[in-house]
Amino acid sequence: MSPTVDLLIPQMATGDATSNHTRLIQQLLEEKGLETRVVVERKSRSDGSDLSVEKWKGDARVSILQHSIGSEVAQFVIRKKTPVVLNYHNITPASYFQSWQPELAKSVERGRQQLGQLARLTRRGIADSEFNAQELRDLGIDDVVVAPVLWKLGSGVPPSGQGDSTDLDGGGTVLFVGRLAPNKCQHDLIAAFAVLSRFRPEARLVLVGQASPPQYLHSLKSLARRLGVHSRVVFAGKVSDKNLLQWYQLSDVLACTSEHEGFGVPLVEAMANGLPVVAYDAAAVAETVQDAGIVIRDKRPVTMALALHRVLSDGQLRQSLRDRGVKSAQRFDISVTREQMWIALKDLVEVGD
Amino acid sequence: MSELDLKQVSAEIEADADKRRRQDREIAQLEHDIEQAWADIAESESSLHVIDEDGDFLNQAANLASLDPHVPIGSRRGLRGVKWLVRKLSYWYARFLTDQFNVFAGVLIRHLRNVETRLGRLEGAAGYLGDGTVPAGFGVLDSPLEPSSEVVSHVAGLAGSGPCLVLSGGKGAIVEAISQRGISVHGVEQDPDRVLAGLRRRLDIRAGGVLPHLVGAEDGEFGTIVLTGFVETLPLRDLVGMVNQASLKLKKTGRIVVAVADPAARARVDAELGSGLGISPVTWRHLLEQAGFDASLEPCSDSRITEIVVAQRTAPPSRP
Repeated sequence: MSPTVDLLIPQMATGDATSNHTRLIQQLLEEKGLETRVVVERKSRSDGSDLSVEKWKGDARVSILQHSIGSEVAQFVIRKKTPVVLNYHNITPASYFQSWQPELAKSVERGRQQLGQLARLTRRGIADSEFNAQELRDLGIDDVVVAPVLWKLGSGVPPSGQGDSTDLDGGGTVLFVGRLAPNKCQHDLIAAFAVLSRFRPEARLVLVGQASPPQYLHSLKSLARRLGVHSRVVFAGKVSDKNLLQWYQLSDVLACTSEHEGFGVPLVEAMANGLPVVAYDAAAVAETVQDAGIVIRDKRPVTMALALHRVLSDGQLRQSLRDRGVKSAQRFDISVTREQMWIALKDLVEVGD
Repeated sequence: MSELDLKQVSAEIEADADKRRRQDREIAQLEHDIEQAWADIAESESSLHVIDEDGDFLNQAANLASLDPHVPIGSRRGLRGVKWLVRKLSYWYARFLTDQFNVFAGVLIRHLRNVETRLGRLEGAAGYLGDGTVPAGFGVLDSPLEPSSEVVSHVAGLAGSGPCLVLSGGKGAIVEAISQRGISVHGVEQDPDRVLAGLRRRLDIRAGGVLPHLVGAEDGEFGTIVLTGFVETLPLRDLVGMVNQASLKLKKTGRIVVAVADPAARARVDAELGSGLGISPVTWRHLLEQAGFDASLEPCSDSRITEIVVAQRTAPPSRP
């Protein structure tokens, strides 16, 4: 017998945001008494998936497809012409990867092509942000709902004033969290940090995240060395959830120079942990941060450096950003986002009961 | 607190940046230089893919050569002989591969058994019980031990004038102790976890390689250089280079303090694994004397590091 809801995803992996999101949707639907099944490209022993897409018949009442880059799962949906609920996490433009990782550029281009084909099969679009929702509407999908990514927000906000350095004169720790990738533009952040070091010679920059592609990391290190700030830039790599929380709590400001963010999970995590945010206004960044962070429209090194310098040197501003951030992050608490997701799916999955 | 208008703050920052660009030529030039630096680096890095593009020729050839199992080769009479030949050749090739694999597997298994026997002997020598507990002394070479409180206080007491550089900084115990004496000090550490631990205590632990940091420092910049931790596991050639560099970066009256364990006192396993790495305090003293220092050994009550080398400069440094 076919289940009520099929959850289609290229692969279920540990520590992957889309996989966690899918698991939480599955948990939500099962709590509502619905039968679910996870459909993946290739089953692995440990991923908890139920079915390989090759055996998928597309006969569930509702099929929810997680779509970001090109995948075989999306191709099966297109081939079978199965109507789906399209949960869209955005696709980074291929131009960012063209010169760094051509194979990834091909994959994201394929994802874009598939998105155009999926638009005709989409019963409803679910987008992480208004920015993503607009992309779906531009493709001709009329029924689009905004429901953020589901994830359990890790936070341990220190009591007011305690998590802050008593004296940031000349110092301060600037944090970036996310993949080290060309579209995230960590090179702009290192450039801004080189200028910031003029104002704050004791400042540090910490980049947390795995490199993709690896040669981009190599270039970032070369840039830091060439600008003479390499000893103050920490490439922490991929860290555990516990260590990530510590980085949030030990840092003084989160900086984001990314040019393409469909949502921006680290921005929310930083706000939830009482870390002030300075971000470049691109894609969904401004709507994620709203009025809880410094959002600038120009990320040239001097502008970004001055924004960071301002936050690091103005205790009152830091406190204000911290208070607003903690409050603003409550919008993305799992209890709230689960409810949003349920509202987005309810009428589709409960029809006929 | 009055409510801040963050849009106003952003606008002020952007206006301030524009003003500085217009008024301060140095800032404008710096920004230009930085952007140029990235343009150069990005161009040279992404050019690595030229090789990949050329390599596509091989991929294309491989794609052309591969057989699609879903497409029938042909069923016409003239093709049957070809199919039979292909099947036979495939069969014999598969047999050839299987034989090769079996031979390889046999050799591999023999080597693994040898390794297992040797490891068993090593574990026996080290007192490994096989119950998951790790005997003392294991892993020292992979991850240098943090200095004991005796070593920390001793080294801090021996630090002369500032600024002081601690290589490697570890979690910052020595940096903290020297700092408490009012001496300007920072440490350098490669392991992000240890840098994190130092940051947690708000200590000046900088991330990066020790030798590059030392080479990048100004000549005559430091009053004291402390060598400890990972220097225990460096080969002699690197140690000589490090002494030469440290000598250059010291002030005229500078001092080098070396806190390392004697390799001769290592446990049997570590001694075997770390053969040729690290030198004894006595050898350190000799090395430093050769480099123009007046070196002496100070006894230390720590169970591992029993002597600390203190070297005061007597001759001016010379570039190697």
